Amino acid sequence: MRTIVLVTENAAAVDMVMGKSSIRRRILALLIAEPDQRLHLREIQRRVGTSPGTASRELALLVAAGLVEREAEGHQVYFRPTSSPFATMVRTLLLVPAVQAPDHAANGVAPVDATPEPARPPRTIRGSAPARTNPRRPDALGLRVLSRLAAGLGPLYAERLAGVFLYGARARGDAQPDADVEIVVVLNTIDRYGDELERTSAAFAGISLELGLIVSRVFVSEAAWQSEIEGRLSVMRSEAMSG
Amino acid sequence: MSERAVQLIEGAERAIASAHRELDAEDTEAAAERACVAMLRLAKACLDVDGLAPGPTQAVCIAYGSQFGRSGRMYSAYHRWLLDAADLRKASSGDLNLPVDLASIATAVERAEIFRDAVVRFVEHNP
Repeated sequence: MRTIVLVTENAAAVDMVMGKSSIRRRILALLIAEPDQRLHLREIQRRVGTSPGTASRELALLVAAGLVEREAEGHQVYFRPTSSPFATMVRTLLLVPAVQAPDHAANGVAPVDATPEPARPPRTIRGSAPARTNPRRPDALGLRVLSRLAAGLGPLYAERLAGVFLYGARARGDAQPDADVEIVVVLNTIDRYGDELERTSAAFAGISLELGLIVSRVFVSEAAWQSEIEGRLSVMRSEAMSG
Repeated sequence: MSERAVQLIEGAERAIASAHRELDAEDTEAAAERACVAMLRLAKACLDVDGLAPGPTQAVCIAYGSQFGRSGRMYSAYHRWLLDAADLRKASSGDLNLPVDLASIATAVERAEIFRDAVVRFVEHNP
């Protein structure tokens, strides 16, 4: 999966990725420990000591967050850590517990706080170079919605989910307060577009009602997302922020 | 029923008829656009009962959600259908060129027709 992520020193983004799940952390730690190897689901499940369903769900979230990539080979699916800048930063945080982000993130069920977060000074990761400044500064509300949707869509789609991204003004960081929250959901295949709308209708409408904003989504096949075609999809991909 | 509500419902009727023609012509972009327009005009007719007249699509969807999404005055699914119609229109637009199938758009048009019947009843009972 091609993942385009922004480097961020924003603690909220780290919380979003890390959540409260110790299983998720253990899976990530396992994959980080063997960065040159890819591991299949059963092996990850066995070595982490959890059920196949939990491992699959947590891996889907890590894939959606752009920290892990999924490779299908025949009937077998393998996972390995990605090498994106954001993934590298999160791995650094995992390996430096003293600066690990606080563990208070919403994990897909908590209400989204619509209050804008005050700007934070750049964080410095101990033992490494100062954190890079994110030139686009995706807004905090967009990230929180993305986090919540990624957590909800992971179990819903399981292995069909290749990624969930924020795009548009809220990903670029130039959104007005009433701007739409624009989400792209990447699925391995899309048979009938309306079925995906129906499947996610209540979740998106519920968040829209809760926030008094429009939270919109488009569904893109993994093949189209990875293709090099020009146009609006290409722009969306360049703006995309994983969650 | 106010004159504005009548005009909006009639406009929605025309949009639904146009959506059917575009479906027959297998023009997914135009059909999805007309289905969405029908939903928006019907939502505006409901809002007119409350003395609200939002203009842009975003404002109509938010206002409809605020007034009818959870109030029980209208079936809550209509709010979802309105948002889904807007997202279907976006997905069907030529610049995105996503693989939106005719059957999905036909469903959106059917929903617009169901919504129209409900809005006519609602407006008639809430002049």
